[in-house]
Amino acid sequence: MLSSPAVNGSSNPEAEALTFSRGLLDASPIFAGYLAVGFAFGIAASRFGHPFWSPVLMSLTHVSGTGQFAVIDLLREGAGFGEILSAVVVFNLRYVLMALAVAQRLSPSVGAWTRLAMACGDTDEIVGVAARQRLVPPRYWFGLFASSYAGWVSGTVLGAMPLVQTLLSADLLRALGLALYAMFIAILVPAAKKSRGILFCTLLAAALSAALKLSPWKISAGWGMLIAGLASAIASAALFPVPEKREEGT
Amino acid sequence: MNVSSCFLFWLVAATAIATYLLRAVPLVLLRKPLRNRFLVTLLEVMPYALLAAMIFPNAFYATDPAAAFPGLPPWSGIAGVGVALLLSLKTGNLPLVAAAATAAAWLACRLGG
Repeated sequence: MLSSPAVNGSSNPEAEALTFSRGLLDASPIFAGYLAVGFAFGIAASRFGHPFWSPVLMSLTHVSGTGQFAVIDLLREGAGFGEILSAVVVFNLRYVLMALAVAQRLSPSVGAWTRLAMACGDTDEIVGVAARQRLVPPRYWFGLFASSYAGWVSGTVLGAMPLVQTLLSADLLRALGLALYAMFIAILVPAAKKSRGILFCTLLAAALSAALKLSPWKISAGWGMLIAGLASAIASAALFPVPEKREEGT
Repeated sequence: MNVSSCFLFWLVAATAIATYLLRAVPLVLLRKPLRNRFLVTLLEVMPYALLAAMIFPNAFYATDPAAAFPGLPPWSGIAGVGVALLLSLKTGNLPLVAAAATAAAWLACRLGG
C-alpha cells in the first residue's frame, strides 16, 4: 500500500505529524533569515566585482553562507584556486559533525539515495531545527530544505540584481558590504562568551590573522586564514577539550 | 577582483562539489557518533577560529573597496564593527546585530567616513 503510515519507518504518531508541509512551515524563520543574508551576500559579491551569475550559481550549489563568503572574501584579496578550495573544505568540515547528528536521527530504513538527496540541505540552521526531533522523517527534512533554499536563492538573486542595486544609495551599498561580517560577529561573540575554548581560539585566530598579514613572508590571504584558523583551533582543542558527557543533539 | 569567468566558474564548481561531499559522505557512510574527544572538540571550534581569522582584520575595511589592512580603516568600518561587537555581547539576535551594524556604517558613510 502506497499510503501506508509505515513508510519512512515512522509508525509512531510523533514522527507521522512531521509532514513535508509541516517542514515548510517550521522553516519559515529560516526562509526569512536566509532571504536577508542571501540578499547581503548578493550585494557583497557584486561589490567585490562578481558578475550576476557567480553569486547566484554559488547559492544554488553551495547553500553555505560561510563557505560562499570565504570564496568572495579571499578572491577579493587575490587568493588562488588551491588556497580558496582548501579554505572552503576546512571551513565546511563542520558539516561532517552536523551530518553525523542528522544520521543519528534517521530511521535505518532510509536508503542511500534518499540520504544523498538529504545531504544537500545539511546547513547549520536546518540541522538546528531538525535536531529538535528525535526521529526525522525525510519528507519533513525536505520541507525544511525547500523553504530555506527558496529564501537563500531568491535573496541572492535580488541582492545581485543590478536593477535592485540602482535603487539603493551608494552609502547604503557601502554599508551593506559590512552586513555579513556583522552577522558572523554575532555568531562568534555569544559562543565565545559561553565557552572558554571558543574565546581562546577566537582571540588567537584574530591576532594570528592580523600578524600573518603583517609578516614579511608574503603569505597570501587564503593560506594565512587557514594557518591562523587551524593553529588556533588545534591549540584550543588541546587546551580546552569538550567535557566527556555531551548534551544530545548539539 | 581580476579573474576570468572560466576560472570563476571552475572555482565555484570545485568548492560546490567539495561542500557537497563533506555533507553526503558522513550521512551515507558514518552511522555512529564520533567518540574521539580531541577530534570532536576540533571540529566544533574550527568554524569559530576560521570565522575569527576571516573577520579580523577584514571587517574593518568592508565598506571601502580601496582600503586594506594595515592601512587606516574607514570610519564607517570602525563604527559598524564596533556596534556589532558591543551589541552581540548583549544579544544573539543575528538579524538585529547585522541591521544595527549596517545602519551605523551607513550613518558614518553619510557623515563622510
